[in-house]
Amino acid sequence: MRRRDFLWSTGGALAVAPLLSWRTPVGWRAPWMLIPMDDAQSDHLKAYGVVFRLLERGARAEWLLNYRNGAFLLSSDAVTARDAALAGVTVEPLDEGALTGIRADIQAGNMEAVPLEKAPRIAVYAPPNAAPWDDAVTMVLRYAGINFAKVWDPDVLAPGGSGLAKFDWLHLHHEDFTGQYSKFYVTYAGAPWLTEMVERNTAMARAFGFPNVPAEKRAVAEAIAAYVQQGGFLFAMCAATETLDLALAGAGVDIAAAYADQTPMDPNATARMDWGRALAFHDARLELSPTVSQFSDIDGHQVNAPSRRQELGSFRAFNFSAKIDPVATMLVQNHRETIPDFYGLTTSFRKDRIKPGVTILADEPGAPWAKYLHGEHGQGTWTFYGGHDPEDPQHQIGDAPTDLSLHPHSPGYRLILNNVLFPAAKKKELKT
Amino acid sequence: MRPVLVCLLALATAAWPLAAQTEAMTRGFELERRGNLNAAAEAYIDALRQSPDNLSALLGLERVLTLLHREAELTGPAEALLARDPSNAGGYSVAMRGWAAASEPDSVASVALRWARAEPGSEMPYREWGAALLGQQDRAGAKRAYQTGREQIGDEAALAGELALLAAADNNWDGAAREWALALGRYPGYRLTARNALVRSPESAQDAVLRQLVRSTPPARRLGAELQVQWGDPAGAFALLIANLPDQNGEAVEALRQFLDAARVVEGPVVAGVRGQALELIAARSSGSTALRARLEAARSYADAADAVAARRMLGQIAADGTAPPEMAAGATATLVSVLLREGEVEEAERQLDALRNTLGEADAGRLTLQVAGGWIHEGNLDRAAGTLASDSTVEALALIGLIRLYRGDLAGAATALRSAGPFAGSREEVTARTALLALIQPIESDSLPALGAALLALARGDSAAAVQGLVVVANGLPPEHGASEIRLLAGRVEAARGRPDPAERLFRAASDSTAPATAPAAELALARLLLTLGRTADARGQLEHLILAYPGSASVPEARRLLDTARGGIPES
Repeated sequence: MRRRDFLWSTGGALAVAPLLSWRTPVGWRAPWMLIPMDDAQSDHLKAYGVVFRLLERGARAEWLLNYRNGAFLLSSDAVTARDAALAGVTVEPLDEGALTGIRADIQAGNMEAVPLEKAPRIAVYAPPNAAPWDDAVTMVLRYAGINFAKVWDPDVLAPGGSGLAKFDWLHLHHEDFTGQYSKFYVTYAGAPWLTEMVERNTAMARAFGFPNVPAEKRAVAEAIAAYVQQGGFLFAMCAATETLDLALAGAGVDIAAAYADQTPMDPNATARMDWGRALAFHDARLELSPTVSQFSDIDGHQVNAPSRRQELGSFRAFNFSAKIDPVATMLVQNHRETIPDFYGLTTSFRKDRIKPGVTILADEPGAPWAKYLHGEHGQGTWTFYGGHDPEDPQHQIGDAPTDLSLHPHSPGYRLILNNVLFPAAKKKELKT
Repeated sequence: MRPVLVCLLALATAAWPLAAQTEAMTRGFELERRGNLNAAAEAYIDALRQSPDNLSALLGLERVLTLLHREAELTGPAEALLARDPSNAGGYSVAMRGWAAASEPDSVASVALRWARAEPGSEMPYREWGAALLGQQDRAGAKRAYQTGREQIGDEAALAGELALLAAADNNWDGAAREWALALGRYPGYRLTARNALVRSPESAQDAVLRQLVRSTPPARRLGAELQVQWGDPAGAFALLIANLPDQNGEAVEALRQFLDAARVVEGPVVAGVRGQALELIAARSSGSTALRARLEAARSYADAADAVAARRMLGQIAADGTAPPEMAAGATATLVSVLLREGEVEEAERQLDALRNTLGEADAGRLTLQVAGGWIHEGNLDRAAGTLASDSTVEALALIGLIRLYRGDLAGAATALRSAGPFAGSREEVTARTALLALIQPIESDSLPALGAALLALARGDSAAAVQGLVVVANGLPPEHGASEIRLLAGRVEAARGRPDPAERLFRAASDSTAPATAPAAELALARLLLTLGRTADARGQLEHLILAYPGSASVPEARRLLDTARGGIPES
């Protein structure tokens, strides 16, 4: 297993202790608080919000990887105790003796304590209009009470990457970076939301001097890749994963249908793709039909191609070595090993289309596809998670948004939130 | 001998392919049943190889290839079948689905046009063409297919139902209404499908849909009436229906029944009145038991609409009809008693009930007795109410006796009766209301409190102003932990329901007294809800946070958290 850029030590965590000098009010005398993330937790999703807000207030915490399914250790303080009580998050008081025992357990087992130092500045790439589908990340950030900003093409295309530079973490959801409006152009012709989407994107392309929307979206994809190259953390779901790579690999190739750029797709586009420019995938075959809402054969499930559509199964996250590979371990922390799969415009990633060197974090046992990927690009990292909404496996356009208060233990949504806290982890200098 | 042998040989030679074909089909069915789809596909292909025009084999092959996501392989066998039998409609359908699965829209079109040439004037080729493209989610292609069919057939109503569904899917509700109107002219049986499709049109498009239907044929206008009633304009809908009723009695009754079916999903006094009028018209156009039943239903609908005059008119007609069977007469009596009670004529209702009690079943008589007792309570005549129930020992009567005792101020007696009635009497709402009353009086130490009984009776009679006044006076004379908080919470809820937020807020705040910890969380929750309705989100959030932190063990906390999440936009509003 390749050693990561991010390594932590219990020593670092212990160094945090003196900073946590707050003394508890009556009824909360213990110096430490543990947020368990196993089945004792009453709201797994909001637990991340409690930790995130604590970091925002300038305090520090530790993420106890593989200990009670990724528990959080915090110093006792009244504000956090109040915050947890309001959120309905289970918190257990911990004295020094108990903490020493936990640290011994961590030392002895496949566990690790990772200091969390700074709340990442979060951006969600989303168009200003209301699309008739919701965004799992936006919903879970709102539910957990994690602050974020929305960015769109003008921010991404700001000169010198200045628009994205102020954020540590960028999320992409359901955007079609090939500029083909998720290939809904034919199927949903005349639908008001599609009309608005086309008008808005066309105006944006014109405003930035691009000849058409596919060209503009490709520039956006390039800017996002540059953001990662310079150290940004990228998290993408659903069609954004696949189309981002198609846009990057398709530089100089017409991969868009005629309705998007007024010229037919290059019939030899598949052969002309430059996969060296892509983050995660290679050697994919492009979908040539403008009426099939799929982009390529990267997606294993092909939900919108009835003759190729695969049934949903379940996926399992891999068990990584916490001490050797803490990044992957962090990203898969969960209280469930097996998670029911869920469709998206891109649901999964065929393993034979994934580049060597990419870490597969979760896959469906026995199936030729993976669900959850992680990799590095320049100074930054990216994570791709297939599917649209972990708690709405058959999500249809126009469906009501998911009420996460009915799914406070959602293991699928937990994987998203692992990514949100991941950039908060202390970065250790590379050994020379 | 030789000719006989030759004949036998000829027969055997002819029978062999047939037997082989049957064997392949049997094998295909059996393998399909066992779920061995690949082998089943091979068996059906064998059968088709022996007899390319075997439609059963082709359909079997389609079934298994669909499950295997290999529908594109159907094109070869289907085309072979059509080469042998160019008039085989099933073969054309399968061929089109195969070509569609192979993403070959031009071939789909070619098959459809060949079929159309073989069956001129038929809508089927175009209907299947569109359906095959829709199966591939190609709505635009499907629309073109239907329009081509309409042009080729030369009939503006051809394929109207299909085009209507497509128009609706494209949010073109005006166009959908136009197409449905055309379709109804051709196929009246489409009415229910058309109604179910058009009723989903958004509010902004409903006027245009109605305009489109009204300017069309009488069946389309009657469809408009059915939609209008479901969209909440029962009076306008009924006027439209009446103006377009067929002259022939049977057809008119059918149209009225279809309207009633549409009106069933709507509630309220106005639609109940309209329902009564429609039933009265059905009765006037019918005879015998059908007419009697329609009159009885009309009377009930008029009673629901609080139109006592019309209800009595219907009941009078039933009474005057000497042919009415006893069960219908009993039904009429029950309706009459209910109508009289709604009119406030409790004395007359009780007289009618006593006079006709013998014609009623035990259950109906018991139910009406309780209604009469309730009528007396509503009149404020507790003695008559108690007298009506004197010989009734059911749990429902016990529940009412508990209320009568409560309204008299006999708290101890009320608690005993209400507890005894338990969860067995009445609807869930009534059980919940009784439990709430028990919770209200339980902390009060005194066994008798006539002022509280009077205030609660005023509330039961609908005099909420007097009720609040009385409740506040009683609460002021009690310690918070011994009933005052509970009574103030109730008074606050009444004030909130009256649309008086300021006094409601004062009462909720007074009820949120920490010395009454059983009541305070509920009062804080009620206060937060009130503040949210007033748009004072920050105040509401503060209140909810206080509730959660101050009373972490309260049953109100989960609901408070949910409200807090909603208030800060953490979850969608439900």
